[in-house]
Amino acid sequence: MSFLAPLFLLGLLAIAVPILLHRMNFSDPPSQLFSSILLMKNSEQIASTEKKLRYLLLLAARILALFLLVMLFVQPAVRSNIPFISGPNQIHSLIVLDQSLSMSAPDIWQQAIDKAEARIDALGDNETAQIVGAGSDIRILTDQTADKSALKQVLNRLEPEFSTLDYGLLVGTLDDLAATNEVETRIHFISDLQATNLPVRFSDLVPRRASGLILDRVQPASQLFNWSVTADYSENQVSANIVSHAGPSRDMQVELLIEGRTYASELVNVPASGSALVSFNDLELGIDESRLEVRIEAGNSDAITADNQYYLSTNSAEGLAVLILEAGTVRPGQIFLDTALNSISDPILETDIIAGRAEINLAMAEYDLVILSDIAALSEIILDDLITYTERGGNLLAIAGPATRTRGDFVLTGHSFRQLGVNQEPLGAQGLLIQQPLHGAVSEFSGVIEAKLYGHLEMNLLDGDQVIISANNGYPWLVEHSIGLGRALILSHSLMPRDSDLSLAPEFVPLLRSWVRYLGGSDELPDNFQTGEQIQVGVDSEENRAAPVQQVFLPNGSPFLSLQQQNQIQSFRFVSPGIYGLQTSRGEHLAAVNTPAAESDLTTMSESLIAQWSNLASAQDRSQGNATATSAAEDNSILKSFETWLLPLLLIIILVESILGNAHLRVRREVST
Amino acid sequence: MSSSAQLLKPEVLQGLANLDLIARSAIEGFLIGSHRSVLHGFSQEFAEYRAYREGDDLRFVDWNVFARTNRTYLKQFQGETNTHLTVLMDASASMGYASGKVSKYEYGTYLAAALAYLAKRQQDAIGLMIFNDKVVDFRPPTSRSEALPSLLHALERAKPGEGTDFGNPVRDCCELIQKLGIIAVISDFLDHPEQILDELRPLQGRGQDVILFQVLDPQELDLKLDKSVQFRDMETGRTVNVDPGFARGEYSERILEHIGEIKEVANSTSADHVVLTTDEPLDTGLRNYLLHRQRRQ
Repeated sequence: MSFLAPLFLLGLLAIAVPILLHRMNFSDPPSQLFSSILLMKNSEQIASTEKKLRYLLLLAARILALFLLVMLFVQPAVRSNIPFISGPNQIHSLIVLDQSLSMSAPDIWQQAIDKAEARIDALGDNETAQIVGAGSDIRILTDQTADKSALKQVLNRLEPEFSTLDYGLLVGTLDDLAATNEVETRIHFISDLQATNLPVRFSDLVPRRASGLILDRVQPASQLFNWSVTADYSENQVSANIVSHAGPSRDMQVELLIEGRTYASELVNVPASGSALVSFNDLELGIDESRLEVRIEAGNSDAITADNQYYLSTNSAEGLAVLILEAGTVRPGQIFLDTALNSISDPILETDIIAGRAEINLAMAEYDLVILSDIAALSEIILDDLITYTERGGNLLAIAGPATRTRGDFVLTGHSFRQLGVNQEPLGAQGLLIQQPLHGAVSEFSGVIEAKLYGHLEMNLLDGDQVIISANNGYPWLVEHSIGLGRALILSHSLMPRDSDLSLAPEFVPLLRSWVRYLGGSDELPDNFQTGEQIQVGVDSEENRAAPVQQVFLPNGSPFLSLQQQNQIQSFRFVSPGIYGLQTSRGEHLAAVNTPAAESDLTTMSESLIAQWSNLASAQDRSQGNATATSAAEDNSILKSFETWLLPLLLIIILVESILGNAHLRVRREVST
Repeated sequence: MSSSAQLLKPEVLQGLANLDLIARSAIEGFLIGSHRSVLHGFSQEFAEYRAYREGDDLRFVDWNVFARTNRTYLKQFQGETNTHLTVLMDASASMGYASGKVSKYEYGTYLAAALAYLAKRQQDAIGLMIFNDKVVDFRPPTSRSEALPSLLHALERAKPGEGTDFGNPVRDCCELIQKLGIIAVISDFLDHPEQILDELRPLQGRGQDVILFQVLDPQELDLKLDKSVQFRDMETGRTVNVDPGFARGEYSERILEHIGEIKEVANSTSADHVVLTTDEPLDTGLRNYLLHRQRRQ
């Protein structure tokens, strides 16, 4: 048996605590005079035998609970033999190259390629191999093959990336891959073994299914300094802090560029093993989006140059552009709607109000959301604009206002409405039932919203309609309907007081705010990303509607998605650092993408940690004399962890301890009550 | 509760100045509140005539009878049966135990004083022996007027201490008290029943009427503990750890069993056995004494 995190064994010292506490409890109780102990003979044996037994059981339960808790951290594992279908002689190697940014240091990548080629050359007759690239994601680059030239061909096309790599994630993925193989699979990992790439849990580094992991370390690069940039836009200030790790003091040039032009430059002396701070103040940033870049010139003391630029971006905090198409005549329902919209402060609404019957063309694409206060009160010109707007991904809140009673069709969606009740005559509906509590339009609500409904319009449901709220007599009240890439929330009830008292209910404004947030897309895009991160673009296939980002403009200004790709590609990964333009329904959003800070720290794992990892991985690779650390596992064995059993066992022991502890305290409870 | 019963409560009696007052208050209160049948024989009612014998007090000669019959007769009353009462008071250390305000010894002295007062009122001779593992004080039974104050003084002066040994006082009783009468033993009897039986048996052999008052503290009868306690024996100094579970279960059974065994000891020596607790009024003890005395007559 071995332990995946033996350092946690120190936790066993905690077992001394319950032992000491129990010893204290076994000391003599307080003394008291009594007339005669004649009738108390053997009381200690009689009373204490049971008590001692209970005490010992309690102590045992507590020690066992602590032991199991420590074991959960230590994670004991045993090697277990597994039968391979194709016999013990067949071996498959996964040759994995670390493609993280730190591998881009001079000579490092070539070392890695050389080691991989040496491993390919050393493949035996009974061995096959695959090349795996480990960068922002884990990619299998070849089929399972013994063709050495094919493997080398792929190898030579590999390049280091700007991303980081989590070794735990890597081992887990490779382990899953090994589990699908019917032959013994060994992992040959070529890396600089950066300390910052270690996972949170050391045990994640140990393969369970793969029969071995060989760590093949390249000579690490040396980085003599690190730096970081902070920005305080409220103070119009950007600062760069440079920390030197070793070597003599050196002069460095720090430059700030705004919109691609040099704004300021400063020569700074960084002392040996010290730090220097450069601040650029009184920046003249525009009110809209701004692109900023801080560059550092480090000369020959820098192993990685890709992280010598740091990008920043600012985006204007615009409100949600809302177009309200009114029915034309001022009615109470319209007043309630306008008042409620004016009271919404989060998000900030920038509203334009136009009569729905106006015979004018509107530039609706500028609006995040259109609110139609009466479905039937639309001119044909505006209806055409609305169709275009929604087809292209626009969002609409449509209310079946008073005019809908007489003209009962909504041409835009194809819905028709039929009047059910007479004014002021209740339909028996006393509440609104949330049908889709997880739906974004009602996520703040649950159960029933109290409201009296009078005259009601029955709306026919079409394919794909989703009833979000219904009257408690079953009529659909709020329905979501997709139109092209856009979507519409249709309220099948007017907001007139004669039709319902919802406009006066306290839930009205929160309900309206929830719809506006949902349709307006209140999810803000962040300003900063790391290379390797992904965003959703084009079409959201799950929701069948436009994703928050419709187009990505690369740092050089070229669009990433062609018109055709906008309907096909669903995600975009930031591969290289720079400032990207993200086209959203609300305009362009600038995203500053930088290399992961962890990759700039080239500190490698300690020798002892590497040895521990190798020992636990317990692999044998006799053919690799230059391997950093190897260990033997001649049989087809895998590591089996008890982790899945430890937690339920711990819970059972804690339960037993609670029962015993309660029994021990029973006497005191009886007396106190 | 009536005012008389209230007066007899031990904690009320404890507030009185001395044993004389305690005894007087206890008895007066008891007599006021007691049932008539119990008191029969204790009033100064006429019982019988008896022929004058030399040495009899001439004040009690019924001169009317003498005038009619020319014979000298003495009037004899119910209360003048000329019995005597000897109280054997246990003053061992265990009697000093008190979970409340009144210790077993204090309660015993109240009872002894009340019995002595009651007996004195009946013209009985009263005597006292205070003992622990030896005889501490002995007042032979006498009907002299100063007997009661002397006896009360002896009770007040003695303090509980040392162990218990019934052998010595019983042996002394047998030697010193020749006349038959009532011997009231006041003790907690927290000793081995067989040993108590052996030590009390000589009294039965002498034909004495024996009544055993077993005085216990309420805590001894119903031991309530909320946590484990180390008890130190007041007589031997030995210790034992007792936990609440034992106190609730095994001990309760043992004390009841022990009381039963003491009762058997009493039965086997033709003695009466009365269990008293220090939180109950004295009238229980007094009533039992009177019933016992009545049966004897």
